Amino acid sequence: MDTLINLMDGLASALTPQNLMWAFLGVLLGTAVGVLPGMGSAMAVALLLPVTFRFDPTSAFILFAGVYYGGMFGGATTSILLNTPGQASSIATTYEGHKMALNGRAAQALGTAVIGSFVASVIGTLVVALFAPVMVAFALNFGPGEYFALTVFSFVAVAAVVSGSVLRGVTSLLIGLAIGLVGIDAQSGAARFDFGSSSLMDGIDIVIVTVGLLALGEVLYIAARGKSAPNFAAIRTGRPWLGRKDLRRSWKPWLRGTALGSAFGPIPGSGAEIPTFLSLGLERRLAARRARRTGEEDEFGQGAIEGVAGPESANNSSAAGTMVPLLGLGLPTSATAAIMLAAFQQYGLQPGPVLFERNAELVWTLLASLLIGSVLLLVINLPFAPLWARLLKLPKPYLYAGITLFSVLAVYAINTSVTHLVMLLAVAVLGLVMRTFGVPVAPALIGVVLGPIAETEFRRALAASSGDPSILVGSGISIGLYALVLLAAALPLIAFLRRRRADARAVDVKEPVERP
Amino acid sequence: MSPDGTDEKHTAGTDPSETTDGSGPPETTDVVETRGTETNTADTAADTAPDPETTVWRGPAAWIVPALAAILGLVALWGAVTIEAPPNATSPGPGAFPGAVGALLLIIAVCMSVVNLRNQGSGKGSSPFAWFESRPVLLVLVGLVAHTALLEFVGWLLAGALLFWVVAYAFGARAYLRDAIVALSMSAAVQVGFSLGLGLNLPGGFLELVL
Amino acid sequence: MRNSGVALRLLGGLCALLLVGTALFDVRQSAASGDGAQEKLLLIAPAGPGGGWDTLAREMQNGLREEDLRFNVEVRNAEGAGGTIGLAQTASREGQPNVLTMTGLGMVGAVETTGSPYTMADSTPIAQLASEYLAIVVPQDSPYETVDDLAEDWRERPGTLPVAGGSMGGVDQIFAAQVAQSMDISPGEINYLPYSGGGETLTSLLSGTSEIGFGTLGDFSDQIEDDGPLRALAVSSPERLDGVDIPTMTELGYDLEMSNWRGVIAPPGLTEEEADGLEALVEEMVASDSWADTLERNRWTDTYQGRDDFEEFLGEEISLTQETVEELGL
Repeated sequence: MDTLINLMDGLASALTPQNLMWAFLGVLLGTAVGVLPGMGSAMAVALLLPVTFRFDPTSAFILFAGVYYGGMFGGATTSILLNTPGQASSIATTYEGHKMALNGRAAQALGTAVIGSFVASVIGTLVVALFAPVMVAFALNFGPGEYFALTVFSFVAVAAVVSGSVLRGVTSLLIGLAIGLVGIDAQSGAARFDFGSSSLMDGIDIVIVTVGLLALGEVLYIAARGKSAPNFAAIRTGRPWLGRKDLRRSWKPWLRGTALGSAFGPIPGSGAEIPTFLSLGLERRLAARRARRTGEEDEFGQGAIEGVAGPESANNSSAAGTMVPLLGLGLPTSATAAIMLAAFQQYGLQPGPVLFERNAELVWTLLASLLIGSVLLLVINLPFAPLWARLLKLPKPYLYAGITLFSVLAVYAINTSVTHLVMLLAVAVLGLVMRTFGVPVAPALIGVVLGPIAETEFRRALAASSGDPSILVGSGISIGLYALVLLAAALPLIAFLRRRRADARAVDVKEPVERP
Repeated sequence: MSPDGTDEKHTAGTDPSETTDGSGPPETTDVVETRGTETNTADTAADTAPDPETTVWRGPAAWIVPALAAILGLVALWGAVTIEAPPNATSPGPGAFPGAVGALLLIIAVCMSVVNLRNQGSGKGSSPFAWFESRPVLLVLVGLVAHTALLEFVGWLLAGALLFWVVAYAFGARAYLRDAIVALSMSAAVQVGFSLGLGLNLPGGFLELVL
Repeated sequence: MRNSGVALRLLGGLCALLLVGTALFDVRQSAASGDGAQEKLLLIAPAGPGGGWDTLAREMQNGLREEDLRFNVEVRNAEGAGGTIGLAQTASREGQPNVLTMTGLGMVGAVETTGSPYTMADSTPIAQLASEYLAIVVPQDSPYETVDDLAEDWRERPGTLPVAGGSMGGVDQIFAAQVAQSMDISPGEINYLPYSGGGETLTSLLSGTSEIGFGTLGDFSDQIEDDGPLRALAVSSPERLDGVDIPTMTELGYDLEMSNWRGVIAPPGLTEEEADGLEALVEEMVASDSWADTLERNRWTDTYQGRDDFEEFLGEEISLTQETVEELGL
């Protein structure tokens, strides 16, 4: 109860017209920056930091909170409309989100993303406020062995995203893993596959891979298909708002996504990608089960609203979750959080275990500003969803020319480097080849994101234990995760075998000759 | 954004469903219905050529993906062998993971080749070259290469406009003047929004010297 | 219908004109060089937003504006390869007198470990601005009470005692190597787990993955206070720091002094006057009250050095780093 009263006090001190204006500006700026893949909210917060030196702490926090949440959501807009995730945490949204847009349901996809982000931010912030100390303790149980188990678990969880030929899905995953190998090896400092170029030393930026494989690859592919390509302009935009049915289908994924994000957000180093992938995998499995049980149509693969609602809530609640280690330990888990830490210190706020006692007032103001930021996120972006969706009604040449221009800009924005554009070109051609031959690009992205994490944590675990592999299964958390992996792998296999046996029996009865 | 705005209005005018934006009467039933029809339109549009994800490869083109996988696999293996690990690197060293990925890529290449050989015999499948239109693809690529090469010399404003125009042309836009105006305003809008507004450094190119 | 079409077209054209005009204005604005306090200054931060060099660059931008020294200051991030991408960009701006690049021990180390074609000799050193000192930290419940305890145990099992710090070849690893050396342990033997930053090093210590942490004091200062989760065994400063109750390495009998210094360099090929001008600008900024505030806010120690001193210092640091990197076998 005390916490609630504190939070109310915080809200009271944060809710001034001036602060609302800052929150408004922050959300607007965050969304704008989030929309451009190459920029990201770290950049925006860094730009704002010197400006906020003259502010009082409350206004500064509100501005940051707005930017942070706005950035998380901004990425969803381009994921859904242009198949170009603004950052790694919105990759999971593209799979179903863009398919929804192709079906003329862009406005619904955006709507569920906005509301999901809002729900997740509010719940995520409240969870941070109420349980931060407990969560800190849990997060610290994660050593490299547990991280490795977590990445293995994520790989299996997102295997659900891969549909169609298994062979092609695995090829794509391996291509992604191969791309992820480029750059200086963090564990030993050895340069790998840099081919003598210093630009390749830091690896191929995830933005280049997503923009190249998804956005530009798509542009080239559509160009190649000529008249046989789907035409956005011919798609009817449909209703601009979420229908009751959409809401009914969305609310559970929102909550499940929020729960996943809140659980994994505070774990330092896991970032927002893992919970979004986990949420997507979970929703897909649940949809398949629903389809089996109740006969309700499983729309995954054709634009299921659950596949947008889940991951989008997961990434916003994990954004709130990163506040846990930041406030509880003074431990920044993302570049944005690192800059925010600098801002805290400038106001004499000392993040750490005693923070809640020593600077209680400021902390509650900060949490209250996060809440205000999420409310404004909803207010500002919801009305825009149908407007954004109408972008797709542009004439086809202009739409694709715009996407190309935007892709190039996004990649140039990473480091204002032309070398990155050359890499983009290569990745885009790879994307075209993959699409032309029907190799799905989704697994490649998963490989690029999760591959390096898996490798680092695996080798780090073995280094920490001086080569003793028992560290990999050394705790309840990792054993639990591996058990889930086995379960996840075994269940569909059993179902598959059972179905095959049933099929075989049916075939035997009907046409015994057919079997080869 | 204005030229786009006008285009938007043009198309919107022709589509009667657009005028009911937001104020559309009933709720759920309507959604289901519209969705059904939309899926159909999208399907018919895509039906004219087979979806590559489900088609079986055939002909010489079928060997492109296996070859790609094999080349990548060989590069990864070569890397695994040649990467110099610092003397104190802990094991598994920097070469272990590339080695594993390389080996798996080679295995997958072999698997795909086997599948290919089997399909070749059975006569199933189709070649993507049946529908592949190389002219627009080459145009877009030329536009991208030109943009990359020119960006720092002629500046974002012109290089961006050129890219937009070339891509629009590749996608069949033939109102040259209007395209050029739209292209220029798009690239100018980006310059205004991201350089002036958000402080991103876009190269000015020779315009910096002229102005 | 016809009329409205023409009107729309006119409106569209007008807007296009307006946009292009604004864009041209922007191009002109960013190209303008200006005179005196309006003169343009480019600060290159060879790291991503949020890193130490980025902070330094943005603090300088703020300081120069606040003190009315320069208004048109632009910060450009040139992230990559431990800072050598930024160094390369600086080297390629030969003769440009309005560019300052942030530098530091990390860049000196990266030049050696990444095989960068450009070295510090491809630049004009201008000044050293500030330093941070490094610390050896252990978790609160660690058996090591003093550096001597640590040295004893570490000598026994250098290869298996996991120690954590920043990235390979970075300042933290050089520090770890020098600490090991001062304890007569071969730096090539230690089991160093690299992390991407101070925050991750901290998690590694708290989760029990590693037993000793090496890093910048500022990264841990919130955690070592009072009954925080960490304890600091020693710092690398030559003398005890004001308000910090941690013994120095030299005081404890280990021959080690090291600082994570930060400074600025300019492109090569500047005339003596141009270089003097940049030095004067930096000197003036450093003397201001707002800079004192900056130092305090970021917990940096003022170690300002003008051009001549800095150049000499840089030479020493380079040869020392080369030695350490060689021992580490990087």
